[in-house]
Amino acid sequence: MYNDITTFLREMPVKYYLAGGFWSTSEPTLAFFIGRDQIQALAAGGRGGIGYESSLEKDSDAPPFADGQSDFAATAKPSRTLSGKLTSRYRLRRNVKHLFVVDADKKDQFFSVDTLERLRQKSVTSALEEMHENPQQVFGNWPESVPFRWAIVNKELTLGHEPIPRIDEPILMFGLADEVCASFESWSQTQGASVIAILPLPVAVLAWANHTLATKDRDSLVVAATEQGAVGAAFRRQSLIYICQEETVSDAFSFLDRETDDLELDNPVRYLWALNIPEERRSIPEELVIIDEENIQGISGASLSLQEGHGKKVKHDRPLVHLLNWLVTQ
Amino acid sequence: MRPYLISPEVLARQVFRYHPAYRFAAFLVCAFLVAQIPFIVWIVNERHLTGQGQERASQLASDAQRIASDRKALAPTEKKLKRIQDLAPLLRARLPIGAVLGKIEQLTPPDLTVARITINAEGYQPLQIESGLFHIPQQIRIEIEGEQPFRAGDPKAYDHLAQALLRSLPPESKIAESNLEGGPDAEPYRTFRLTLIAPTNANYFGLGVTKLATQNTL
Repeated sequence: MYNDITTFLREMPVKYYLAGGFWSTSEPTLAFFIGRDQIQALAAGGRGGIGYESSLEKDSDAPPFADGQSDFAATAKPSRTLSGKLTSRYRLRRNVKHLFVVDADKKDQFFSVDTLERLRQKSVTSALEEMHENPQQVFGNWPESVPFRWAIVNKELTLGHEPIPRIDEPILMFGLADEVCASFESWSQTQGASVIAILPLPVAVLAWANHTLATKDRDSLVVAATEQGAVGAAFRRQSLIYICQEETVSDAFSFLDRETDDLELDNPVRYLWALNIPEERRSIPEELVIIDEENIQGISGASLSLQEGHGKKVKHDRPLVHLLNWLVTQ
Repeated sequence: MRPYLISPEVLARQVFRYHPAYRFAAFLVCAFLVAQIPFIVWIVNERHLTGQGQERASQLASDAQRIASDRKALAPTEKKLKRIQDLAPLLRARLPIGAVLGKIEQLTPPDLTVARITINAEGYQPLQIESGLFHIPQQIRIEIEGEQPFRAGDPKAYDHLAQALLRSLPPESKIAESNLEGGPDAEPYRTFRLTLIAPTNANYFGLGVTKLATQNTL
């Protein structure tokens, strides 16, 4: 009890309380996309996106890149934090939450679809403990020596609810290197912000796709192409049943096509969500729906008009912006 | 959204932000701290005043030290002054004999012949001063003897002399004796005898003694 009180008195966020935290916990969100060499951010209020910053990587107070490193770590602390600048620019409250969507290096992230039954676990909690303590035991030939952080979502990839799957239902297990996550947490602490979540970009894309695309009555194959490679996923109706990491989009689709029969998918529709279109389109299979600026309005239901740093509202229909906007409302 | 991939330590810290119990506790702590502001202001003010007082006290102490050192140099002078002040009762208990004699000379009417004037100090009181034990007279006895012609113009001339001299002497002076001896069958002169008693510690302005300058306050 005494220790709890002293810890509270030592750690209590006084600035947060004095900035209105006593009365309200409704805070704006800054959703950051963290790439290998680019950082973008969506500033969102209670009703969704308000402003968008498409190039924050040059800011002296920018968050670390996807490898956990920051170009400006050694520079002097700026007089005003990046979060403070963004909240001021978009007239948001000073207390903010950070959401990080990270396009991490292939070696720093891990995805797997399995069931609790095959993992010989009874619950998600016990599975997470086992993954944290002994990933070799869970994944067989776990090669990584660096510590990872782990999370599990249900087969529908519902990010807002605690997964309570049956032991024979598929679950998505994903992990990110502890060093990468810690760098974002540390940066957020310097900003005086709290952290909502740190999500690998492919997981965020697959969750968005499963809740936005018209896959309720059809099986689907979804490939998320990022700067670090391509992650392919197979959905039976809206349930994730398979995931794989490949170097290229064509590799991912080829791999998924080979598994289609084994997965017993019925004429799945193919979707490609791409950060940038990394390959020539001829190498991408035909009968493919590429989610891009041309069709995003039809998929998401509306076009996004967001304010930029210069103060004017600009149409933002790149898939990444829609993804961040969807995430802040979850 | 659930807090995916957030460390337990960060989550524990964030509980302080969002849990109502912690926010309420923080509010109470802050309210308590705000309530201390007047007390803190008072403490600061008191410290300021105490500091000023100490500074003033040290300044006064240094002044006192300086004055004491200066006074040390004046000690011989003070000692001399003390001796002079001790002599004050001696100096005060003096009768200006010259003035008394001058006054008698002025007041004696032509009909009277003064044969003898005796002035004696009496009523001695001891006075201890630094240099020794002194006896200070409290009063002066003035005795005048002389003759008045039997057929003088003013048979009460001796008495008028006594009264005039009494008026010239300080207050509280008195005539102790005033008589005339001898008759018509005797010699043509009659002997008169006047005795006046005057206090020593009084003003003798009536005798014509005047102040030459303002009294020294020392």
